[in-house]
Amino acid sequence: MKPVQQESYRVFWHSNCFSKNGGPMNIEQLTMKLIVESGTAKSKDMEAIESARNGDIQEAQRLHAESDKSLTAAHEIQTDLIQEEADGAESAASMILVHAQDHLMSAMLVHDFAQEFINLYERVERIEKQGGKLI
Amino acid sequence: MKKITLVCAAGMSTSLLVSKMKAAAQKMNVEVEIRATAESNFAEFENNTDIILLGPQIGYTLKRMKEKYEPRGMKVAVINSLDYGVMNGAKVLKEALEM
Repeated sequence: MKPVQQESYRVFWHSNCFSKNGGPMNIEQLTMKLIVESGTAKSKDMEAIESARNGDIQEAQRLHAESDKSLTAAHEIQTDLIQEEADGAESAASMILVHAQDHLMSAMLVHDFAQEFINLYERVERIEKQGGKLI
Repeated sequence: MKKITLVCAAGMSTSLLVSKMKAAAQKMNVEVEIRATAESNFAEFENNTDIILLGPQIGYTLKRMKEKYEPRGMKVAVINSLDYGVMNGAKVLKEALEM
């Protein structure tokens, strides 16, 4: 395994990737942003499922749409990182970046399933309203 | 001495924040114990914590954690995701101590 280098000279100019002071983010800041955006997306999805379970489908859909925004932001960072590597930049993955990828993967999985859960809860509610019983 | 436990999915990204918070505590000259743990491992610290800070990625557990630990006198909050993203240890510590 390659030693991890500090690559603060690698900066990203993506529209989503500006640090507080307005400058471009370095790889460490991007990694944290990837974790935060993925984490926020997953958290919103879990709240969406809970809302659907409590019968508030509209709120569930709203939370799922919010999660979508965070997930898109996370995905853009991911795309930038891959693009950068494809363009020939040498990249050494740090443990924390691997961890960030893990967050993104789990967020994407939860996002798809959250929609399925919302649909299911909606369907259950409809059946129950029609007087049907679930065993 | 206040004891702060940061909780996230794996306890990995929060442990980075812990080191920043510890550095901030030293600078601010406050005595405080700070550590990070995974959600599944929190039970280990539940009798030894004053303030629980949740990582944004497990923000959805806030209600459950509040119901469980607030009656036992602990304070529970979700870390602001902007502060989390830029690892602003000083601000997170300050806000935790003001809770």
